[in-house]
Amino acid sequence: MPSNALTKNYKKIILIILGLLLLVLASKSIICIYIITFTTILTFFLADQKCKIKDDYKKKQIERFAVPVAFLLLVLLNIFGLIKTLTGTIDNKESITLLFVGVTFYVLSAGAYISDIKDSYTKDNFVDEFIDLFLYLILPFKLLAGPLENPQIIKQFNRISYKFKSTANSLYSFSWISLGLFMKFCIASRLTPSELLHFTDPLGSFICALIFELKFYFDFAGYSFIAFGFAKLINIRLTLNFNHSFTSNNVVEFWHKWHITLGKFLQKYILYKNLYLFNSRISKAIFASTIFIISAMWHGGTINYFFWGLFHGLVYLFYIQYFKHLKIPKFFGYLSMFLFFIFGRMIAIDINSGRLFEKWINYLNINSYSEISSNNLNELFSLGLSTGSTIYICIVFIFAEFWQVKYYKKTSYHLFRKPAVSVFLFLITILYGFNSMELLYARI
Amino acid sequence: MLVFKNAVKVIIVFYLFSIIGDQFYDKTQAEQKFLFLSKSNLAKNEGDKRIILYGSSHCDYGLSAKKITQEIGINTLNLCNYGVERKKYLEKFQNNLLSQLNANDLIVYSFRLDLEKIKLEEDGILGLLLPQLRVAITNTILEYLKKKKFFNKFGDRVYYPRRDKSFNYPDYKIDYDKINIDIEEKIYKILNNKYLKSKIIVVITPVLIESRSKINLNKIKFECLNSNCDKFITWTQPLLIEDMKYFSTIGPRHFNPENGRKLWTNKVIKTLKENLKK
Repeated sequence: MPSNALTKNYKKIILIILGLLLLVLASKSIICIYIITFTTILTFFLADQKCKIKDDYKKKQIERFAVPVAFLLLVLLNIFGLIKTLTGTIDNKESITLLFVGVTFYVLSAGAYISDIKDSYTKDNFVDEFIDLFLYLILPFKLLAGPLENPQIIKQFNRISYKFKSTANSLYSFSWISLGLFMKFCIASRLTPSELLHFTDPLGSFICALIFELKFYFDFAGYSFIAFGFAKLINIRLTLNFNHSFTSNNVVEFWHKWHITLGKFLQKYILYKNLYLFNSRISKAIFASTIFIISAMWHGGTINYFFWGLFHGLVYLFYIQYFKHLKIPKFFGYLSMFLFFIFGRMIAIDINSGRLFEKWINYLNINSYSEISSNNLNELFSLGLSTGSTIYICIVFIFAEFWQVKYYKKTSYHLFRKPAVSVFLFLITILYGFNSMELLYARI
Repeated sequence: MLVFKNAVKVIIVFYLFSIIGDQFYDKTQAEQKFLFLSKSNLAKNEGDKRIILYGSSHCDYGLSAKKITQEIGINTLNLCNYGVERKKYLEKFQNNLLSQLNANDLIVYSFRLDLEKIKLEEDGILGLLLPQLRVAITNTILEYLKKKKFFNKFGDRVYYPRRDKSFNYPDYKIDYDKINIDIEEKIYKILNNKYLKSKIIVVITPVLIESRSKINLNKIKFECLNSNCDKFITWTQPLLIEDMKYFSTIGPRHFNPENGRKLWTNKVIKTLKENLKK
């Protein structure tokens, strides 16, 4: 029976092997295979135990708390420095292996699986189910760190195909891969904002945060699109993780366009499952806002991540409670979002809390603005970019996004995936792409 | 659709050719200076003494064989080149070099302290998948079409690319045990090479650092305890440099010819004078 199941699932097994191979290559350690296998077995066992529970109330409680417990576990691991920060700067990056980046995603996926599973395994299906779970956790297209898909994706595993028969599908995949490669290896790799971290004056810290924000966007969106394209090539449709995030006019719209899979995950497993506990509109809004703190602490266990979550939570709360009902001119909407990106990122990137406070204080000190000059600006950009033209490419790219979304009324990077543009971007990547030797997920 | 399909096929074939081409180009570039050894007529007679500068791009940019020849009076050849210390080339290149040298030659072997947070010489699987075709094209145009000379007959670099770009002090991770193990491994690797006949002096590459006090040179140690130590003459600690004026060409890890190369070459000349007398 198991051998039949293995033959039947060979396409999935190929992907599992690919995922493990990627993990070993990235973490440079065989131990990751044991960890992911152990996580899968444990998740499989816990999911089965949950299904065997007769009491519906207890089942519901497990479904509600599986993901929050996974979050809590990761936040604790973060706080005690076991998995360090997921994004932003870290002081001791050589002690980090990519496995730990992956673990933050595997644990959440495991929690989601336990929460979603409804039926107990049978003798006939337990091998199939185990393979499905293993593939869901290790899914190679996640490239270790997202997109954070929920277990609904398992339904797609039965239609995996390696035949590449559909030309339209292959070209569609190519257009995403080409765009992603260009964003990651031509743009993001040329942004070097960590060189500016020590600047505490308003101009320096502002430019640093600006370039960091651009780097996060081009890096993470870029590699999400590479993953999306490769998955589509074998007939798996991942969730599009970014959708013109910088064209957002308000914070709610932004969270529907930035790291979409994480947003949906939090919404499904924390917000909706617990919202009934709150009665009033304001208490619901406050609960929704506190989720930002959980999400931020999941990214890293240092104090700046707490402030980062608090900042996002407060901005979200104020928007949905007050600003949403005001008629604010669009220009101010975009301006406020620009400042939101910069000041939010400024908090997220600096694990040195003393330096972070100094940056904030300097914004209030009139004397610290005295050094602003064009020479100073040139020097900052020279440090923050490996080639001067990169900032112009970023500006043109984002303006093209605005043009496409606002005037052309198209989303999903339609303009950048036109056939001629795709081929052109791929050619540019071959000529100008380079590996900045930085780890995935914008970890600097 | 058909045009798009064909364009994608063409570009993917082009990409695969770029990967293969880049591998050939990279290897050719990395070993290009070894050709100087066979081409040069430095050792006219059997038994003539030569000094060979060996290491990666840091001493390609940072040392002058011409000046050493003039000051010491022994023909010197600068075989330092980028890439020679990459894992995939190291063994083969070292064998190639050492087998061409004789017992009268003196190797001045230079390498960097193991301080970097990322391995500068290694670019991993992504390096393979992202061919540096633009660099290959630019260099080919400069070298063959514009007849640009990169090196003189001593192997010294005469073309210094200039990047008008600010840079910071590099962020190092100083672990003395790791540094000492690395020094030991590198020196013993060359000393244990079966082709080695020449004597060796090791000069560690100067380090640009914000404050000299950040590195305690007394903790950087090496004592030769190997059966081949008769071929090992001495080793020198790195110069710790705080002033960026020595490095203003392509970043904080390569000397410029005006200040940096002069400074380090003089230091190496002093070391050679002290040890050649013995």
